[in-house]
Amino acid sequence: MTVLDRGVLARAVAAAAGAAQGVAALVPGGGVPAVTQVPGDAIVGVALGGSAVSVHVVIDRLPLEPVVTGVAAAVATVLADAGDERRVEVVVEDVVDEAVESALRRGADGGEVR
Amino acid sequence: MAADAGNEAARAGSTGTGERGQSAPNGPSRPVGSAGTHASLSSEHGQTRIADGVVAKIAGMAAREIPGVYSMGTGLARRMGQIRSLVPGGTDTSSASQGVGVEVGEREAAVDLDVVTWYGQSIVEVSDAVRANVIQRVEGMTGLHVVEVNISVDDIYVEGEESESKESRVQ
Repeated sequence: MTVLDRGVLARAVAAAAGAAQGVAALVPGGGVPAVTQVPGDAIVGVALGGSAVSVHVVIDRLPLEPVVTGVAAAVATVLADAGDERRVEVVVEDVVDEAVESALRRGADGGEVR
Repeated sequence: MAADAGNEAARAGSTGTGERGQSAPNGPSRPVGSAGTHASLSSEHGQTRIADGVVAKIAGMAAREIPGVYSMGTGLARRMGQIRSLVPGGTDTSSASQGVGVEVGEREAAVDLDVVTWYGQSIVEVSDAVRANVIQRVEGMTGLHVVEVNISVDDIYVEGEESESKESRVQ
């Protein structure tokens, strides 16, 4: 445990990831839910692992790469400020339907889809 | 619970809050260096003694605050708790220390917990959360330094499997 209490850290990570460009929501994901349990509550979408802090997000714009980079950078900043040396893992759990449709439309118009 | 508790604690401890447990592996012993931080229990004008039961209750309540903890205690203790809760006049708080074992010294405490978690969630996450909260609450309320919190996950509750009494899920 570093300087910050785990609940405080998880809330800070969730706030940073949620505020990043292109993030629609933080979700627990399929499988074993990614949550951080705190007294009387659970912070959804943030899992504080032993070697990595993973953030599970739903994204509302394509392409994914700049969004994921932004989330990773935002979370890394929080961890660095807290003196935490764990890696950051970003898991894209879903992409909002409209984002996929508009990307496909752009593709049909001859635009670039990545 | 000896071997299981040790393994579980070692595994879970290595993922997060292990440093505290490793600092004094032999349970409550007189600390050499930390006198300044937790010394308010013994002053030149007298000593404060905190009973085991007090620490056990605080630790039990702290563990139950974590939503991933379904119940506490080994199988037999949980059954007894159910029966006791049916007896009129029994108080709810008497079950707070169910599933908790403590050793309390002059300035330090060690806590052993038996917990039952829900199926489908990370046991490592639950035990990390329980350990952090128990340390925070016990240290905050008693001023004792918690040297270790050993957690033994005795059972896992599958929803709809059986209808246990609701007495100890949330306080």
